[in-house]
Amino acid sequence: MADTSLAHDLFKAILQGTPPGAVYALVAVGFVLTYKTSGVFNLAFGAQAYVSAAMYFKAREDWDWPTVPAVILAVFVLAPVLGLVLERLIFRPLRSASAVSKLVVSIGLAVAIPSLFDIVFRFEPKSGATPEGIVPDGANVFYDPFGIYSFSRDELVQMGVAVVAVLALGALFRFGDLGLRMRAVVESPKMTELNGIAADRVSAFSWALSSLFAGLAGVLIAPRFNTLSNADFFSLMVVAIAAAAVGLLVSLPRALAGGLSLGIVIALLNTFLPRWAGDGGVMKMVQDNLTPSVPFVVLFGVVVLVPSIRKARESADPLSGVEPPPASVYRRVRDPRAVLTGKLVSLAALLVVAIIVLAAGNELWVYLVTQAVAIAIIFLSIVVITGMAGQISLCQGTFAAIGAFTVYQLVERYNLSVIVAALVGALIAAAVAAVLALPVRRLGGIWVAIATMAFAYAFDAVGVKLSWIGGGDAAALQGTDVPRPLLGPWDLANDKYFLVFAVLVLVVAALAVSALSRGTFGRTLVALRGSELASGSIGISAARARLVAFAVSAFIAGLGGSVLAMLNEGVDYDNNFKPFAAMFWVVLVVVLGARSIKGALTAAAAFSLFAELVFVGSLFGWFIGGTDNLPDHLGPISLWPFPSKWMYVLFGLAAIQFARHPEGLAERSSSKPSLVEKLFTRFRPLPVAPDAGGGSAPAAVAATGGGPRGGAGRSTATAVPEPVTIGANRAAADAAPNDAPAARTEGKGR
Amino acid sequence: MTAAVTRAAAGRPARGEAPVLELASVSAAYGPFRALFDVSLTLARGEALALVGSNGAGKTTVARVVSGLVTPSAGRVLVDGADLTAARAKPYHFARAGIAHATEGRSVFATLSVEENLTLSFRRARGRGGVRGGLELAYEAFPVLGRRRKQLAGTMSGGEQRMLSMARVLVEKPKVLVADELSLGLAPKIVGELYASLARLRAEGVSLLIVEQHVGHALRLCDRVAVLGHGHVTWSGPAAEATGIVTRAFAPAG
Repeated sequence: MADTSLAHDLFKAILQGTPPGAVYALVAVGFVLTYKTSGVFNLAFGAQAYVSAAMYFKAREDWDWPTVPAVILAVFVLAPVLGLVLERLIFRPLRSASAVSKLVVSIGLAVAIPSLFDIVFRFEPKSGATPEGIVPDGANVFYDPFGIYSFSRDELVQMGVAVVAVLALGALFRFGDLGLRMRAVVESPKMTELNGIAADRVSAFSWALSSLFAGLAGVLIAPRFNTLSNADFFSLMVVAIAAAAVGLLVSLPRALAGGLSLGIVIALLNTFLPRWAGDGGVMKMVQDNLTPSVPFVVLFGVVVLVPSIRKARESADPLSGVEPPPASVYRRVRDPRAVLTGKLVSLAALLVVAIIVLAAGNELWVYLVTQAVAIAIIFLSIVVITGMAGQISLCQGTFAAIGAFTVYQLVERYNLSVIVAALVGALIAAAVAAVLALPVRRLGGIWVAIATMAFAYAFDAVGVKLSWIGGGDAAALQGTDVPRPLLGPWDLANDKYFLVFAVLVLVVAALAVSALSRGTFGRTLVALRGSELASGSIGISAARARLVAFAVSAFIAGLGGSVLAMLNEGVDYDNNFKPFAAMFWVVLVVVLGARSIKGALTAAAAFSLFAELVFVGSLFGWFIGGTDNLPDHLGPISLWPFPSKWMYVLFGLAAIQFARHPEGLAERSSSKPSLVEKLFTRFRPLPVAPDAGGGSAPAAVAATGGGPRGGAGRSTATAVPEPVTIGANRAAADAAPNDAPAARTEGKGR
Repeated sequence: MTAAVTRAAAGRPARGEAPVLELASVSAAYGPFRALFDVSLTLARGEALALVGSNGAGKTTVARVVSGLVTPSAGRVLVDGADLTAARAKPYHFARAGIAHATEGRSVFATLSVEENLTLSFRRARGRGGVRGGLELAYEAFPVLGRRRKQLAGTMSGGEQRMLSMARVLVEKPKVLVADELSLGLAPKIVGELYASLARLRAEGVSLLIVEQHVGHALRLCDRVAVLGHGHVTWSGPAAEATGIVTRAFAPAG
């Protein structure tokens, strides 16, 4: 080749990388805008972009609207309204919640919002029909300014909008104090108000603006996808986060530069690596595998290696104590006999279900229940890492996949016993997790979630295609067969035998987790979850405990992944272990109770059975003699069968309550006072000042004159002249009927 | 000193002039925890009131009610005769009505630089053109802030952070300054400087509500004292008569 061709190719690669780079940049800028102005690491950003894109296509194709009104509806109406709704209903009440809670809520929203949109607007993404962008014939008209590489009209629009958007935002931040106000609100809304600034209005505006940006990005980039899919928007967002990480997630111009350079670097690798690589060898492998994983490796690297990205936002609100303290997580002391009875009853119920399914269940039900059992094993791993260790790991699906792939590889290549292979797979998953934990364990907070998410996507991009992990091309053609094990006289190819086997594995795993949580290790983790500083002061090594927690969790996940693969008689990565799907697992477990085995089991049952029982209507149908008898309409509202997407909406939105009740729904029922009891206390506020007129003498009933900051703990420290118990106060309220009405109105007012 | 002192010595504001701040039978609570019971206080223009009491007596809550951070469950808060509780006012309404609150502990934005902290409030109060002049005044009052204008406020020492919040009110001149535990954790020399600027503010007509554990400083500065115990005002009167009573207020209960 001639000398000039190197420069020529270099230039061509740069031009080639610019359009995808501009797309990354557009999303990255929007993401940074959200993070900077709302303080939320908003993983629902991709979902917001999806909704606007879907709205645009719905209006264009199903309603036959022209381009301009469709863009106005999708980008300038729907997107800001969505942002305002999210701010007002979800994130404003969660202002004082921890960053991790907000991250979990945003994952829930990432799952819920697109499904809700699809249901409400009856939107069905059509496969194969690439929708047209905002410029006519954007994908087919090309311009070639340099005679080297032709840009399509769509690409030019994307690049133009990215640059204009950054300039406009820069101007907004530079020539007004809006940017300053937004940053102030992120740190402390209350303190901003003390400066005479309406914090609520500022934060509503930030959400509307950043949501508009998500919508704009969504509509512009939609033509790049073959089919509009929420998961694709989510992956694109993860790539964009990598680009934004280059600017430490706070700098808009650097997010733009990061996006562009990411696109260009990938194009350069694609251009030059094949030349050096030839047809085989190491370079070929690097080329095939490195390129798609570049963004995720960059994201992981920046999060782990650049501490300033984590420090940038860590500043507690000094006025967070002004809000009433959140309801504390507590367990009521329960009558041990009642607990035992409860356990026996639920055990009996489980046994009945097991007998019915084993004796009378049809193929579908045996399959669904077995799937629930296998998923329950994986969910136990989330109990260990999230419930016990308090770390949000978004790569449990990857650990499960590692277990499953190991079984496939060992059985396929070495004809090893399936059971042994499953144990080896679990061990490998644990080893991988231990290595991963080395850099991740010290990150803390949301950064563990982001690093594990990057790892999951890197594995998704690379591992599945490697012949020695996912089977590569051979697996893509023939599938990844995993046989059922043979246990002595029992051939587990029989579905019912296999169900019994899966239950046994689950019981062993559950007993192990339960023993672990009651033992020293479990208490160490609980102590760490409470306060890392305090644990350190009594000699607990957070790093070591987290490493072990990651390894144990991955071992269980790997085991569960193997069982799931055996059930399906194949790994079937795309349907079971994709990072986005695995993210829904975390949402489900966290919603239903990550702190207990019961929570994990409930979540697994919900995962496999909820759709069939409730949405198809088997449960209600059973009562009235068959699903055919279920009403399919109630007036204009269509009823059974419900779209299964409702599941994502229900549990995704339920993640909102995680911020207030990290113990989950399954635990809440037994750890909270009953509704009746709550009503009772609500209408009778505890202390009642008997002489409202005098006001000078301290009343003897000032039982809870607690200080503002410490909540319950502090009020006990307050010196009370005559300690009066709550019961006595109630008696006092009863005895003083004149005061009762006043007290009631107060209770209602709050 | 000024006429304000003579008026205050009589125990109540001059007849005919509405107090700049009035708390009328205020009760307040944090969720189920009740912190204030029927607290009434008034503050005349240019007057300085010290609020003392033991830990958990409700001093900080009074300060928060005054600046609107905590909405009273009963009673009214009047600023310059205007009832702000009836209007369901938010803290920013209080701020615009002329209440400045230097909160307990950190009272500046840690993630903003010194200059940004000052700009944030000057920009609203003085408009775009007034920011520069305001900054100059602030740096004149506390030269150390001028030297650190680009530094993030969270990385400064506690004393410097206090100076920053004091610089803001020195320039902006609120009607009422609520200073919560100003001396907490600071070196005596810095405390002296801060109290000097408080005295300067009062001389310029700003009313002060001083919440203080360090009673000596507060008593020297203030005209009147209100003692808080278990969420009630247990005593109030001229500072000169307060010494014995204040000592008793801090004695163990019983």
